[in-house]
Amino acid sequence: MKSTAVLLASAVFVVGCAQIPTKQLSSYTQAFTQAGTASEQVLLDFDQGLKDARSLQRALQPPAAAPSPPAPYPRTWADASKEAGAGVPDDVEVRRRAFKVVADYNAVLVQLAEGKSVEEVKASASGLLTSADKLLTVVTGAGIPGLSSLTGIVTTLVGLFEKARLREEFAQAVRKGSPLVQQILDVMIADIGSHYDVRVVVLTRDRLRALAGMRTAAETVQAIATKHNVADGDRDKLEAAVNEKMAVARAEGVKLPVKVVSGGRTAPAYSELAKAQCHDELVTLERLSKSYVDNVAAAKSLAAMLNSYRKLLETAQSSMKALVKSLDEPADVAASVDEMFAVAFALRRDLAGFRAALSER
Amino acid sequence: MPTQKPISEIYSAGVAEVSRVIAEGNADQRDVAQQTLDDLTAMMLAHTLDTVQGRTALLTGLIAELSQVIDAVKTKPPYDKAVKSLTKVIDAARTRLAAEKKDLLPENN
Repeated sequence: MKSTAVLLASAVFVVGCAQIPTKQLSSYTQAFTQAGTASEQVLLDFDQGLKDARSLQRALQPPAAAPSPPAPYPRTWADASKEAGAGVPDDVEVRRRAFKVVADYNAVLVQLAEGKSVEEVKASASGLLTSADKLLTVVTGAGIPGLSSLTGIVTTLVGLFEKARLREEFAQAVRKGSPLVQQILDVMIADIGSHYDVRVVVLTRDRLRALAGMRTAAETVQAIATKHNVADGDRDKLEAAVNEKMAVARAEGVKLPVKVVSGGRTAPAYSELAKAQCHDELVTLERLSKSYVDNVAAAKSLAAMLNSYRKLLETAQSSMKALVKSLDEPADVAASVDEMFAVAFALRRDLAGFRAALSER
Repeated sequence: MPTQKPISEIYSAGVAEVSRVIAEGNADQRDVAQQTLDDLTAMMLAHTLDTVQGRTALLTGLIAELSQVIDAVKTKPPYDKAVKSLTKVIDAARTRLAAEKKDLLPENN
């Protein structure tokens, strides 16, 4: 009777402790999965941005002094390694690996929470008892008395202890791994700034060069008109076309409207050549104006994408914090009580069955 | 001792001025401004690329550490293998014993 009470009390205690915060784990893993999915596109763009930035950086470097004649092969292993880029990690590839390792870590947490090993351990224990029963039958002619009840007791207790072990492994894994996951997410969030800078610095240069080109084209049209006797109708068309294209850059402080002034009657006639030259400048102006508009749209689209991505990463971080916090919170009492009664009932039934089998023997 | 301005601030202020000259200045001024823009661009890109590389090194370390945490997790109980091995031994012993017992039984004539 006393041993029964001790057994039941131990089982109840273990049940009460053996709860993994599955709700918080699910929130965290879902949040991270969403961030991970978004990261695929973001990292693709980051990769392209870094390549474009390095290419522009090389182009902007001052021309080197006359190089010595190239050798047909690298002179030393160090030179050969440098050429092959050996030992230099690819920035974006490392970031992809970081996401992968966090995903692997999350999969391990889920595996612990799913507790499949509980059934496996119960099956192993049951298998051992069955084998022992068969061996005893061969040796003595009779098996273990009350085998099914004994199996029930052993598998229930083994299952309980495995649940408790899983819970402890889970808590340890979260406590050791969560600071590292948070640091990885911190780096990804900090990267957003660099991603934006790398893209927008190149876009800014392109935009301002386009603007400079637009002003040059507009001034050329003005210069051609000033040197020729342009009829009012043609002059109006030229002025309207120039101002329509230049209007896109109004926010940059460009002085509008641009005035196109004819050279007047004393100037040479507005020849076909002059018309063709004006037409060419207007075509250039249109192309640069479109490129300017596309440039602004690209920068705004990038900012929107990175803002959304940042929110996903921050959600993953806060979900991880909630998971860590939940480890120290008391277990769900209602669930514990239900499970406690189920376990106690099963143990009591199996103990009674086992005792009955022993007394019959 | 005056603190050095962050590179991003120098870049931002510089590009604002370049932008003004390109929007309002004459052709010669625009040419000079574009050269300044190239210098500012090169400076900012170098700084940003260095920062990214620094974080790459940090991430490499974090990946190694988290991999160690994953490797240390025991998803299965440490005694499960021992229980399975013991079961196999018991089964083998039973099979052998049953075979020997059968050999010892007298043959039916």
